[in-house]
Amino acid sequence: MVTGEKALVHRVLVIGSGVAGLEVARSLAYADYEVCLIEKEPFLGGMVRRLNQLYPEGMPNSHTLDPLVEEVTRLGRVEIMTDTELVSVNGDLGNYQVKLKQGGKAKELAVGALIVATGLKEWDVGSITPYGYGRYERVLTPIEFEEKISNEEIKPEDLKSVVIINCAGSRDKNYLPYCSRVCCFIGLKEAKLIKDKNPDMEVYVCYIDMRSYGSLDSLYNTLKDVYKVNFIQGRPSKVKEKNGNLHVIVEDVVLGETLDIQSDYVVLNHGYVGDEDTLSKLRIPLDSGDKGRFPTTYCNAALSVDSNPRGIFICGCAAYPKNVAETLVEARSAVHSAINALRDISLKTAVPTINSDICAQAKCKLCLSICPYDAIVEEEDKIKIISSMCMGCGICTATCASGANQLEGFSDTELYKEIEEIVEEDDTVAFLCQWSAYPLCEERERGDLKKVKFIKLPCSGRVSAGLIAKVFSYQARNILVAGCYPDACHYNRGNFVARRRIFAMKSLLEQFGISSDRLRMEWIGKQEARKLQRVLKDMRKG
Amino acid sequence: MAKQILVKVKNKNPGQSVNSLLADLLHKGLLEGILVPQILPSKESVVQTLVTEPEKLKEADVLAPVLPVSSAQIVSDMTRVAASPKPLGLVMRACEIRALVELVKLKQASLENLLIIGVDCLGTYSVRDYADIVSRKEDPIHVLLQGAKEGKEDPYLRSACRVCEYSVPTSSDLIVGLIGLDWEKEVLLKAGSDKGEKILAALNMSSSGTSSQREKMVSQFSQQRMKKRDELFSRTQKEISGWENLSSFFATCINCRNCMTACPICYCKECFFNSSTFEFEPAKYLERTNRKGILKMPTDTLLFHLGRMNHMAVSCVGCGLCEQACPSNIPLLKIFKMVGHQVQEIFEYVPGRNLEEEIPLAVFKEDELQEVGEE
Repeated sequence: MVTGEKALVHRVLVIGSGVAGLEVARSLAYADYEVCLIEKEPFLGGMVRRLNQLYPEGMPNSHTLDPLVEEVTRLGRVEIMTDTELVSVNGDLGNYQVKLKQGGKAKELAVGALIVATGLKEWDVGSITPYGYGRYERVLTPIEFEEKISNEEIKPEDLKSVVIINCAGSRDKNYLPYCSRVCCFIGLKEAKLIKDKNPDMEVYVCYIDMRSYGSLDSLYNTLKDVYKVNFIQGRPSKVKEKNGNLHVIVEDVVLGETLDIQSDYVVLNHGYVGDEDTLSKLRIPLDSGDKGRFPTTYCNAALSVDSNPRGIFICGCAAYPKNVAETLVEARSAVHSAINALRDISLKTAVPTINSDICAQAKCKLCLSICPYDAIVEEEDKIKIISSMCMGCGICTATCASGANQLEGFSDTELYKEIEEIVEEDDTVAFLCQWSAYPLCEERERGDLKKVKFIKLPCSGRVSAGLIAKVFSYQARNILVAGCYPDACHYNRGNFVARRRIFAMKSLLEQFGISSDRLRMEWIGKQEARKLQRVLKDMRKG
Repeated sequence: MAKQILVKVKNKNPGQSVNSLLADLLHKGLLEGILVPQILPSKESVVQTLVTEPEKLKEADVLAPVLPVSSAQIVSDMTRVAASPKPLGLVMRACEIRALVELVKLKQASLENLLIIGVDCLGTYSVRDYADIVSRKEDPIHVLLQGAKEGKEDPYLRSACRVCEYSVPTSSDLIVGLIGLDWEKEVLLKAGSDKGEKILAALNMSSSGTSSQREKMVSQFSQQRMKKRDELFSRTQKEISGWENLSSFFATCINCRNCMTACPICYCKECFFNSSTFEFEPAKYLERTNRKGILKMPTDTLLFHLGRMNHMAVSCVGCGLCEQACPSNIPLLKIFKMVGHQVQEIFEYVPGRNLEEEIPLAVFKEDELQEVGEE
């Protein structure tokens, strides 16, 4: 194998050998990159290997997965390691040290970038007690149902009736609050699968909304109109067993009637959760929910040039549930991003520096918990920024009481200087987030807003009490802090942190007999130039 | 296991009885050392001492109503780098314990291997007033306890103590109680944690009943002081209303940073406000002066106080040591305590109450403080 740092930028580790990982390995190999593909199972193929066929055409694995496996295996440039698990990853774009465990033996590897294609996990549908999964033998998950059909344990020809319960636990805040995107199709596919083999049987699909988006809606129509599948809008209340038969109790919200459907099998079409184990090992930030956490970057639109962590790219169902076609597209796009990043490994995001002499005297570690990316760590008694994971939001800089932490371009010295230079008596000072409100002020018509001074922040989370106090000490009339809407922060939480600070500051002002209206926080979206104008005009009134 | 016992007081001197209890803890090897205030030979004040030799506890004075420095800071000095290697006891008042809990949250101290021995506190005199009382050949603790017994308003109490809600120590392993007891005859020794219970058991003392009065009196005491506190807040609010009044409140500040040094919460050894961020070139001074034709020197004193306030207000325990340290006699306590109290209320946070409670400005919630913006 080629060694040396230069060679590393041409070597990529791909984690997971499902459709996504295989497609990534194939594309990278064709682009002349050295690829190491690891798989924790003894065989390649991932989740799709367990499926009987793929929707919408019902294509079997022999036509989809097998040729892909064969091609990747045939290409010499892909080193395939099965029975191999990821232990840890250290380093930065262009130079990652990876520890692996292959069948109990430790292995080390150096690569320039990683692509995560570890897929998703089935959510444990047994936690919905009334549905009886685990209690009744013939209540199954979709994958179990397909496996039993494919090994002929279940023969659709012998069945009279099957009920498929969509959204089993999904879009329900007691279980999985979100939509897993693929389940509706899986339900349709399985309905078709058994109807094809036994057109005389009754198939019921209980659903809340049919989310058969795009061209796949025709599959739903075909099943409804041609296959005469019974679609019942309603969430079943329970599944029970009577005289050896399963009964599904469901209120049909269209008919307004409660139905009791006798059924040979019940398929609980549940949602999916992220592979938290692997994602956490890679320090990929996960969204803040408590169930089925997927990577944050996919929950909020990521516009940054750098991935997070820099040099680690996510594709396929590891990011969020998606079908095979979508997975293939994303796999190719991850390859594209990785190649682009490896072409120039210089840091594109400005990151904070920590003056370790100042920090050592305080070392309160508040920055560690406030960082949305876990990019701040304590190493050898020093607090350090892992630049490969930092996205440059500056929330930590604003949190640091000692002033040791300073974000390049938005340091206290730089911002204080800016305030000194531009702020005059009776001004309105607007601290604007660079991702939403600040671009709007660049194209503003100044007109009657001459007394408004704009200060760019990387995120509203960079605003600190020091900045507010500094502005007021220059006898400014009032201050606007504009951040992204609550669910739209580029850095996931900067606006929430800012909101706490602003409320604390407002309370301070009130205590000082100064109207807290002089400090205003607004959510202003990327397109809301008019709102910004309106707010500023309002602040200049009187 | 007894959770509390009444300890007989000899010679009408509760302090001495507490000292012999402490000596017992060292004798029995339950603690390796004890951090305790000790009276100076001149009698005019106390200093904190770390004692390992039981003999040296004779001059300890855990009840002396004076607080030259918060022992929370001393514990921070001792345990910031690493936890104490041996079991140590800390004799502390409520405000000191609460500050210590905040410092632990801020990673400035470790409670591992430490036994907090909290002592009831009826208030303290300023270092100056304490020395004054001594010079009049009076015993300050006697003055304080007698005054409290008679229910008189003590004109010498520090302003912080007059409005302090915490006469009884919180988060302690052991509590030495005076309130609600006839302290010339007996004091209360009570376990506040499992650790404290074990120590109490190891001391092997016979239990002699409880005090029925205590809880009622403690609550009465806090009620009275909370009422005074709220009165102080409303007076203060009027006094500092508006930038002009706020500026004049701090006008005599000489920028010495004593308040910051004395503050148990201010944990930065080098204050950000001393950094080069606040240094200006000569031209800048003139430029700033030209705005109004006059510039107060030293500059940015108000900014310093507001900045410091913002950094520590959520954790402010109202000990008033900032005020005691101020050479210009700026009545800092009332403004810091008032602001702290308001900010703490927003986040339903009580500094020093519980180690598990996170410092509000280091965390956030998605579904809080909804009333942002024009709608």
